[in-house]
Amino acid sequence: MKINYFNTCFALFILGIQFCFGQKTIEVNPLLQKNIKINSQLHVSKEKAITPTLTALRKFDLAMDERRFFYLDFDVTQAYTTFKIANTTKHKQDMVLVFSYPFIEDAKLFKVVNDSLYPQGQIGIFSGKGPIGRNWKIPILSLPNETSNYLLVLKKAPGKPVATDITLFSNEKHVAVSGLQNTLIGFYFGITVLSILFTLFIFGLTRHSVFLLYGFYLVALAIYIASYFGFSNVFLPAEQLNNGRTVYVLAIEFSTILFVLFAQKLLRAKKYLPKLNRTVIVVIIAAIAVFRVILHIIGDALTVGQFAIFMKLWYGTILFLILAVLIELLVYIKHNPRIGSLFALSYLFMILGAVFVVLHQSIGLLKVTFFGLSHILFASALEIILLSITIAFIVGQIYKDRNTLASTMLVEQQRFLNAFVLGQEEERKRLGAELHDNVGSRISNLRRVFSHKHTDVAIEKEFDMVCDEIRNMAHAITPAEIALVGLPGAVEELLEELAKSDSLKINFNSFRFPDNLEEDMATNLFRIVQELLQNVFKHANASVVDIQLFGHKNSVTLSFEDDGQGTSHKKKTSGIGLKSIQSRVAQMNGQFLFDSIKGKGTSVLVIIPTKYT
Amino acid sequence: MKEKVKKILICEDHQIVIDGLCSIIADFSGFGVVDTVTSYSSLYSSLEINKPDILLLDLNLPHKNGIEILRELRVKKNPVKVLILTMYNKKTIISKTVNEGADGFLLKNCSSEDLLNALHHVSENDFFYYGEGVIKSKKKSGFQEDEFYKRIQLTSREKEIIKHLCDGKKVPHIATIMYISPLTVETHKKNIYRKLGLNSVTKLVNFAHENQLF
Repeated sequence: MKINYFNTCFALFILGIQFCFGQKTIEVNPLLQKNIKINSQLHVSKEKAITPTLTALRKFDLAMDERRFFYLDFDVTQAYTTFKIANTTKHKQDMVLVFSYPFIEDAKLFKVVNDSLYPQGQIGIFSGKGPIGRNWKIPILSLPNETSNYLLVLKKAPGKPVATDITLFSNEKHVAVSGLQNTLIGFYFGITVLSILFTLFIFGLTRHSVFLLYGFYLVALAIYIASYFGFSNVFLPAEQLNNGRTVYVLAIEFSTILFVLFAQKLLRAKKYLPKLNRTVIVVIIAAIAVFRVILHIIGDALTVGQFAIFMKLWYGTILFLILAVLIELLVYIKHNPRIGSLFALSYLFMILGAVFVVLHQSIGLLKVTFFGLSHILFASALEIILLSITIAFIVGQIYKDRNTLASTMLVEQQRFLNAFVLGQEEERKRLGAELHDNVGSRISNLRRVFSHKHTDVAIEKEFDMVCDEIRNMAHAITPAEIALVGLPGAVEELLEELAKSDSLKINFNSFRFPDNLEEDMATNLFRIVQELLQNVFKHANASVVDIQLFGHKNSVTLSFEDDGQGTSHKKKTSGIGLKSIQSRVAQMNGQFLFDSIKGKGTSVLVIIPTKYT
Repeated sequence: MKEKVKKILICEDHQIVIDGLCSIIADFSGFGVVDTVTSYSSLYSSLEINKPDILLLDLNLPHKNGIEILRELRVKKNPVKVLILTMYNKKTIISKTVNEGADGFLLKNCSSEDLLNALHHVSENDFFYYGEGVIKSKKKSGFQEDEFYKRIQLTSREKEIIKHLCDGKKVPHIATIMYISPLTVETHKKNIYRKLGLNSVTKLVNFAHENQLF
C-alpha cells in the first residue's frame, strides 16, 4: 500500500507550519509493527552535519520521496523524519524502533514538546552508544493516553548511500519477529557451515583447488551476509562501528573475486576460454591493486565526485567479471549441460541477489524482503544449496573420469607390456638363433677343419671351450630345443640344470601334454615356468615345488605349486614378474589363477585354450 | 676286400659348414658326398635320386626341424642311416633322437676323427653312436610303470581336493574351505581326473580307496 502524503505535507510546509505532523497517527497496540516511512516525510540536508536543533532542522529540504523505505542519497549528510504515536489504551506500551540496515553512522530520537526537542535515545558512532544485538534499536515508552510527536535524526557520511527500513514494533511483536528472523538466519549459516565442511572434505580427498576456492568463497560470503545483517555490530564498540562497514565492503569484494575464481575453475575456463581466463585474472589483480590499495591510500584526499567515478569504475569491473563468468558459463554448458545448468541456476540467484542489493542499497530502488529480512539471505541460501549440489555432481564427474582414466591407463599398460614381452621374445629368438646356428656353426666348422689339417690339442681344446660357451649362452637366451623336444622336454632340461645347483626339490610331470603345441605357446609357457621358478627362488622360501603340465580336450594347463610362505593378497598382482606372466597368458587368451595363502604356499594355474591343436 | 664307397647326403642350412664337411669327407676313403641340401624341401627328391647310405642331418633347419624330418623318414620306413650333427648337447634332445630312430649323434665341434668313426660305426653297426662329448642317454624303458608311478604322485593340494571331493563336497564349498577360487578348484579337479584317467567322483573314490591315498 502506497500513500502519497507529499501534497498534504507540502501544503502544510507552505503555510509555514514548522513541522509536518500531518501524517497518520500510529496507534499503539500490543501487536504493533509499523513501517515509519509510510507514515512520515523525510527532510534531508547536504550541509556539514550539525547538532540538531529545531532552527537548524528547519533549514532541511523536504525530500520528494515516495519510497517505502528510507533512502539517503550519496551526497546527503543528515536527515530527519517525524512521526506521531498515540496510545489510546489504558496501559503503557514498551516499543522499539528498529533499523534494518546496520551501517547508519548515527541516529538520535527526540520527542517534540512545545517546540522543544527532548532526547529519547541515541545510537551510533557519534552518540557513543552501540547497538545491542545485530540491529539498531531505540526503545520508546508510550504512557497510557499519551500522544506524542517524535523526531528522528539520522547522520551519515557523504559518498555512502544508505537504504534502511525503520520499523516501530511493540516489544512483544519484536520478540516474535526477531525470533523467526534469527531462526532463518541460523538456517542460512547452517547450510553454509555444512557446505564448507563438505567442500573441505572433498578437497582433502581430491586435492582439487576448485573445492578449496568454493570453501573460501563460502567463508567470504558468510562474513558478508553476517555483516549485512549487522552481526559485526555485536563485536564492535560504538566508536568503531564504521569498521563493520569496512568488513562488509571487503567481504563483498572478496566474495565476488573468490566467486569469479571459483567459477573460472569450475567452468574450466582455462581449457575452454584461455584468453578470457587470463584477462579475468588480470582484471581481478588490477581491481584489487587499484581500487583497494590505491583507494585506501588516497581515499581521504578524493572529492565526492572523484569518489563517485572510482565507484563507477569498480561497478564496471564487477559487471565485467559477471559477464565474463556468464560467457564462460555459456561455453561450459555446451560441454557439460547438467553441471552447467545447475551452476547457471545458482549463478542466477547470486546475480539477482547482488543486483537487488545494489539497486536497493546504492540507488534506492526496489525493496524485496521476506519476514522482514532482505532477499539477499534467501537468494544466497538458494545459491549455496545449488552450488553444493553442483559440487557434488562434479565430485561424481571427477570420480567417473578417474575411473575411466585408470582403466585406460591399465589397458595401455597391458598393451605396452604385451608389446614388450612380444618384442623381448622376438629379440631373444633372433639372438639365440644367430648365436647358435650361425656363429656356433661357423666356429664348430672352423674347429673341425683345423683339427683335420693340424694336430694341436691346446687349440682344439680352446675351440671346444668357445663352442660350449656359445652353446650355453644361446640356451640361456632361448630354449631353442622347445621346437625339438617339446615343452615337457625343455622344462625337464631346465629343471635338470637347476637341480645341479639348488637344494629345492622340484617334481615335474606331464600328462597327455600335446607334442604339437604351437611353438609360441610353448615358449610362453616355458617362460612362465622360468618366471615362477625365479619367484620361488627369490621369495617363497619353499622346499618342494610341483610343476605339472596337462593336456585336456580343448586346453592345456600348467599347474605350479610350492609349499613356501605364500604371499599376502595385496602383493599378488604387483611385481613385473607376475605382470609379465599375466601378459603372456593374455596373449594366449588364457586364464591365470593365482592363489596364495600365507603359510600354505602358492598355487598357480595357467589355462590356455587350444581349439586349433 | 674292397668296399663300395658309402654315399653321404648332407642336410645343413649353413653353406660354410657344408663346405667344411665336404672338404673333410673328401679325404676319407670309403665315403663320398653325393649331394648337399639346405632344407627339407629339397631333401626328399635328393633322397629319392641319390639313395644315400648315410644322412648327415642338422637339427635346426628352417621350416621343418631335424627331429620332425627324422620322424617322417622313419614313418616312411626309409632305411637311410641318420647321423645327427648339431650344436645341442642336451639329454632330452639326444634321447629324443634315439627314440625317433637316429643312428648316431655328433656335436658340430667334433673332430674329423670323431666324424670318421661315426661314419664307420653307423655303416657297420645297428646300435647308437655317441660322438665325443655327447651326453649318454638310455632309451626310455618301462614306460607303463613309469606312467603309473607318475599318476599317483599327487601334490599336497591335489590330495586335499581329492579328500574333499571324496567327502562329497561340491566345488564352491571346497573353494571356501581352502580359501581359493572355485575356478582353481575346478581346474585342479579337471587335472586330477586327467592325471588319474578318471571321469567321475565315484571312480575317484574307488581309486582313492584302492590306492589307499588316505
